[in-house]
Amino acid sequence: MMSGIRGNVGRSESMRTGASVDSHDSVGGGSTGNGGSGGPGSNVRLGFANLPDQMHRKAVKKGFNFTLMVVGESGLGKSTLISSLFQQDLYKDRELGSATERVNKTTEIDKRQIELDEKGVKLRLTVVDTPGFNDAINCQDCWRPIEDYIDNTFEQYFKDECGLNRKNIVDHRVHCCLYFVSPCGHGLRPIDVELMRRLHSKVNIVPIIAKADTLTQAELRDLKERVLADLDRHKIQTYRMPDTDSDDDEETRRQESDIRACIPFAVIGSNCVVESADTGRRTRGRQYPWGVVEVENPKHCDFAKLRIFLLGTHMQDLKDITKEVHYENYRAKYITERMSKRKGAVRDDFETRKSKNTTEANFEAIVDTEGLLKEKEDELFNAK
Amino acid sequence: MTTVEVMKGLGPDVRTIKLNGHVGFDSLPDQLVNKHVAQGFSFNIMCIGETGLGKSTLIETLFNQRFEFTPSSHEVPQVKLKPHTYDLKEGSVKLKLTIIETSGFGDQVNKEDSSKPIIDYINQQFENFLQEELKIKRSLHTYHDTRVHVCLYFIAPTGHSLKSIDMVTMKKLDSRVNIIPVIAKSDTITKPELQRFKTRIQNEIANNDIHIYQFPTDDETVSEQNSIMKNLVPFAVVGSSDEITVNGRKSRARQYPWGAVLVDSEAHCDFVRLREAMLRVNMDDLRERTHAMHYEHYRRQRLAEMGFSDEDKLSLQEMYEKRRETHQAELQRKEEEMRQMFVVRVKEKEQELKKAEGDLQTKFEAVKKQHADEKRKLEEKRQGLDEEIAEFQRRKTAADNRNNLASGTSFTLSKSKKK
Repeated sequence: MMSGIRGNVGRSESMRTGASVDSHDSVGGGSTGNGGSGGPGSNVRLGFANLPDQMHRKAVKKGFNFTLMVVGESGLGKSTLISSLFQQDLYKDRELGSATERVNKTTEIDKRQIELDEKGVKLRLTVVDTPGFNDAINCQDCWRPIEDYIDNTFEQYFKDECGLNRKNIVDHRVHCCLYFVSPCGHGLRPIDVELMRRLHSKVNIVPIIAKADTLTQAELRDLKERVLADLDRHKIQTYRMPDTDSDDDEETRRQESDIRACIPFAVIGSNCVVESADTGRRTRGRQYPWGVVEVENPKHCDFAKLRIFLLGTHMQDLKDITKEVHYENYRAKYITERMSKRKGAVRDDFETRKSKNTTEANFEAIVDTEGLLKEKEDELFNAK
Repeated sequence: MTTVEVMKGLGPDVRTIKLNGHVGFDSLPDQLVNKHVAQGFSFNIMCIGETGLGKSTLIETLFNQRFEFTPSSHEVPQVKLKPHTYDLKEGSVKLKLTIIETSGFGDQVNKEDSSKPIIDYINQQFENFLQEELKIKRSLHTYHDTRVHVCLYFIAPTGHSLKSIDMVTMKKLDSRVNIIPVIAKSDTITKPELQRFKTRIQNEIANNDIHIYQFPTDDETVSEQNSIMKNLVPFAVVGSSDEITVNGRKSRARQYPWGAVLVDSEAHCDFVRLREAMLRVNMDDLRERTHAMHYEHYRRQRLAEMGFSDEDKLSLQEMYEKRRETHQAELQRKEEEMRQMFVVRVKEKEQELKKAEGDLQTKFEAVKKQHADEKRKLEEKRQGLDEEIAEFQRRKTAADNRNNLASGTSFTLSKSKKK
């Protein structure tokens, strides 16, 4: 009977192979039929070269989600940049407080979600804004709410992962943090350094020079150099792009090295449409009496490169690094802390019970008087 | 025929006379001006703003000179002020210009103490002047006046509103110095945004009762200009020392890929208006206000602290004497107190030492007694041991004797042994 079954199995397998071969042909030979598929001497295409297509279809059906955090002080153009990046005005109904309200303001976390659809690919984008950062007079610990938020999202994911029903985990983890550096300055400020030091091991930080239309070409070069030097000096690890593989073509490699040379990106954002000076096209830009700045012109700023980087080429890598590196670090730390806390609680109890005797205090008093008498003895001896 | 306006405020025993011919005292203002020009003027500008906002560049642009300021870093732990003095000459007018710049303003994480060094500096200059005024032998006309005449407050071009530190600092300084707020690096802001920004700042300044410098409108010659200036505050400025050639002319500008911002163009920024308002039209009024309002305010406060007031009707001399006497009495009382305390302390210390000595003595006795005891014990033990040895010897000789008797010979060994 067993053999009978085996026989059946064998037959169904061959049938399946046959079927896949058929479907392989019907697809139209799109997938590569590299000669080396299958064992020696078999010219049967197994068809797993189809896998990327299957993955593609499934991913498109499932949709993508991405969480982007923007951090920087008020007035650096964060909201405008987000609107320019995603071609949507997310912050239409926002109210800005006056200076009196900001004297003692704490950092808040403001989440907004939108769903975008491009050529059938759905993206669920969450933008986490941090209004109130560096607004108050005393900004001690103003990074605490941001740190706590990131930790909470990690903790939430960890608990979900350990839970019983894992089908519908929603991933709120922050995949990328755009840190806005003020262009009026000679590099990073102490508060910038403080925040980045606390976040660089928890989230991918991409530094951005905001309002880059304040700077001439030479000043921009200087500032980028200084920012990179400051980051180096304080040992802050910002997001590093993965090295290109050798089998990527020349075009991608050039693009990649272009983008890498640009970090930190110097961006300009705009919610208005202007007419470009040389082509006459209408694009997003800023109109000045002395000229027109085009947001998407690579000669004017790095906005186009930032968009390619964030949306075009590295979004998945950002998510992967968050998942594999930052989340795993957090998880390991969290678990070991919980273990040691439990052990530590037991140890602490024992020690407090031991130190309840008072002989320690007396001993110290005795030592003192002995020392004093010895001194006096020496004095008397020397006086003699 | 020259006429003289009726001078208000004079008593009934002053007669106004109409002149019948030219007397010549209408040259008094010229005489005054000539004397001052010979002496030279001094003007002190303070620039407050975050690091990197272009304070040094704006001063260089204003005075068309390179002053070689070094840019400061962001990691200064406390706000510091750096005064630099320069001698400038335009035409026949000599100007001693002092520029005081803040470094590290707005860089610290906790900015609560940011305004303290600034207030201390301003007060210090007032104090120096006051001391000079109160001196017995004083030389006010050659005194180098270092009081701050105007404070340019640089606002960051966020486009939204004032920052909290801007508001708090301006509020603290508005009663001590003339403040002119300016928007720094204003080539970041488009024209419509700039209008909104200025309106917002003006509203915030009015709502919070911040008394920035008001350009004087009572003098007809300048009132029109000044009322225009008033609406322009805060001035949106752009500073640059680099020159580029535009339309065949060299002018100061900032060159961008999309165009060039001309500093001297009124359409591009308010730099020219600021220069007019501050230097050409109202410079003397700024000095006047510093002396008449801010300095007097400080002086009144200070003298009140020292104990002087207008109600006692005592002359300064008598007040000084009285003060000195009270001060001396105070000092004497304090001396007495300290002396008494000293005596008490010495007594206490003596007692302590005596007690310690007593303790030491008893301890010494105890140790001695212990020593004697042990010695005695050892002596006894020794005696015991000696006796035992003697006993042992006796026994030995007895045994030997017995042996000798038994063998019948007598030896002298025992004797020698006994030795």
